[in-house]
Amino acid sequence: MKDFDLLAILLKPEFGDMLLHGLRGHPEDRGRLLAAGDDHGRSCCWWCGSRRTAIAERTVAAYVSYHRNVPTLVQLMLWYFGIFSLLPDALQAWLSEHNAETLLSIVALGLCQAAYFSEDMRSGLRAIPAGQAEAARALGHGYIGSMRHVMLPQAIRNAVPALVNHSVSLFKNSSLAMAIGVAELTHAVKEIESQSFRTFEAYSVATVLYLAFSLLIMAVGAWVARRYRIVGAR
Amino acid sequence: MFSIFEILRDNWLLLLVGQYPNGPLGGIVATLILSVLGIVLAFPLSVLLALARLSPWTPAALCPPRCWSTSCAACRC
Repeated sequence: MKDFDLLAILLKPEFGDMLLHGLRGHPEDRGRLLAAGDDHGRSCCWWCGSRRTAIAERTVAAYVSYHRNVPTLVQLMLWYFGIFSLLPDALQAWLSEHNAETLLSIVALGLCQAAYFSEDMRSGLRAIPAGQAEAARALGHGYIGSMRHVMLPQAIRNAVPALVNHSVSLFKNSSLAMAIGVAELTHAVKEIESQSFRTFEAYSVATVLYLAFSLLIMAVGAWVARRYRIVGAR
Repeated sequence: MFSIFEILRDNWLLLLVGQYPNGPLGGIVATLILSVLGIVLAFPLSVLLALARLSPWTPAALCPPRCWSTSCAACRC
């Protein structure tokens, strides 16, 4: 171990050039090699693969990263105080007449939860053996047909436990909408508490109600998971 | 302990629907509406996002200028 000196490798010009050469690679060589070895309908070359991921995958990854890493409360505030003010006047007026707080909360919470749900769905899709998609194609389904009739029904079944988990999460996060003026359960409890000065009792009521509805959602989710489970799945 | 039941007895309508019909709909009904509509919005969007993330589709305009295989499913070029 005493002879271990990484800098001796990295700082030596010829070794540095060799490493950089290896990192950079030659797309043309790599493409030819992959084209010769891979004829199963996958990405044929490094170039195509990188261009493919650059569009849809990276856009969705950015969307998911934003919604997972920014607090939900901040997202609600951004929608209510930020994006709302950028909307056209007519739309602002319409929203103000139709309970803008609730509508924007639904949009903010829905978009945020879609990021979590999409990861659940992605894991559900990736859990399906590749042979299923190939079999659907062999039966004459196109991409949309194979997704609709073969892949998605199985993916949703695979993802049900995670979807239920995140649905409970959404139910609990709905209490954050109080911050932008939605008069939901936590808001009502806060009102009761400020009228009666019985803090412990008021929040105990909220705790019991949230717990009861969360357990109800979990029970429904468990029933759905049992009812639609894939035969043979553990 | 009895205070909890008193609070429920005195404020059950506020807990259920908030100030409605004299004000906006609130309480547990508003919470459930937020949750259900949030899920209704999130689920179809999540399916599209998941498919977009795994989809092999690439717009033709973004196809690379040269491809080395005739069976490339990634760019269809």
